[in-house]
Amino acid sequence: MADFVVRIPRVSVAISEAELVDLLVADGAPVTEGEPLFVIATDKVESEILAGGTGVVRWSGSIGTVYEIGEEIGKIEATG
Amino acid sequence: MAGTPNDSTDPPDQPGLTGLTGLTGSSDPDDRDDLASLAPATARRLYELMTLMKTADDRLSRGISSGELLTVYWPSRGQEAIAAAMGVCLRSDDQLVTTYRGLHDLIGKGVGLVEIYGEMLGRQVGASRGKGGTMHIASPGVGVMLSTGIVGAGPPVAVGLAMAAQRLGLDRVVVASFGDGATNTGSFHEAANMAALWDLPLVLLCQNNLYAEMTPTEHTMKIEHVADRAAGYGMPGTRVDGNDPVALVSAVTEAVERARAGRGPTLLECVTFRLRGHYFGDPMAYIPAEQLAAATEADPVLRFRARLVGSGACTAGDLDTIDAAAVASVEEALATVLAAPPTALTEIDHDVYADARNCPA
Ligand SMILES: Cc1ncc(C[n+]2csc(CCOP(=O)(O)OP(=O)(O)O)c2C)c(N)n1
Ligand SMILES: [Mg+2]
Repeated sequence: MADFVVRIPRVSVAISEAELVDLLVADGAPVTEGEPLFVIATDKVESEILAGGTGVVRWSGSIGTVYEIGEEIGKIEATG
Repeated sequence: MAGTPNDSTDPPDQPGLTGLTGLTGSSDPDDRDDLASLAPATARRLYELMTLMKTADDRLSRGISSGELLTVYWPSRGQEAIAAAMGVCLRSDDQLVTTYRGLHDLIGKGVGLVEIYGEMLGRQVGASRGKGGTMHIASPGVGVMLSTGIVGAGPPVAVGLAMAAQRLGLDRVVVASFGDGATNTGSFHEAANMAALWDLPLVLLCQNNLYAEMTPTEHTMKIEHVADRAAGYGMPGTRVDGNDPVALVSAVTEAVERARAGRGPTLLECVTFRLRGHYFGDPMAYIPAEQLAAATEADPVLRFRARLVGSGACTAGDLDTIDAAAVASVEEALATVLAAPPTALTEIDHDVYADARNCPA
């Protein structure tokens, strides 16, 4: 399995950017696909984003930063 | 004004549960009723299509919400029975005009998943070579002539297609698929009038999911049943449980046969629900909790599965095999699309001008 690139999702039609407000899994910790991974905020609402892959999380994004939709904020490194 | 289109905070005055009383035909999983009226192969085909539609929607939803897939999407989850019934009742040379909420309709009419996902994700392999996006998927080879994001714009185009079939002496039928909200537009009424006047081979397939964006139908219509609008044009209007594939097959068959025989159009109102709201990511705060719970309970795919197993028409194992095949087709199509090149800039005038040489720069 290839690494899963963690990006800011387009959670709604009319958004172009979102603030990363929380990381729910620590850097270097394991995560399983479907588990809550991070939280973003758009002008309207906060959304909890689920992991799209399974492996070890490596964050490159930081809390409090506003990112464009589609921007990379980390990776889930496939293990085994 | 109560319930303007983008008003997501005001709850509706009335919960709008009345429409859901239409969803009764499939509400009893042990129903042995009229499943026998379908050939076993048809029942199976309906389940295959509905499962594929649901699986394709689920995968998109999962991908968009994790950031894996960057696209916009108006989910058809919950409306699968209508599109599956349409799919089994139409010939491949019959034509369809649909909307932005068209994933299920496109699959029902036979558009390949690579073409659909490819278009949604802006790849060269998309139905419109990746230039149209989710709202503009056409695949004339299988009869899908247009998907449009303009509410109410489909029916007049379908009238033109049906008029062409009539004038060419072809016995093909055109289906225009649209929502409840579209029946409030002038273009819908003009189309219905001309189609009835000229006895065109058209089926006006209204997927009444009880909302237009965030506005419930009772805030925009004095009448309770969309089907009643047919009387104004002198065509039959039928209201059917849009979550019951068996009832739908019989209603769609009747409308298609009537159209094919040259006896004119039918307005079919299929009562259903959008289980994921208007657009992907819709928080659905305007939908009363009890209404959403009732609609979730009436999920057409899960209900049909229980009904097929309960009546002995299929075993759970048969259906598991169908489900697994749907997952495999969806994953294979998505992998193909993700490996395909993004639409090239050189595509920009392809299919735009018949001959670009003489066009002003
Ligand atoms: C002419 C026009 N007016 C308004 C809109 C904005 N709009 C997009 S979808 C929608 C609701 C349409 O509701 P309905 O016909 O019931 O279809 P559904 O989305 O429920 O499938 C509206 C008003 C539009 N796209 N086109
Ligand atoms: Mg609607």
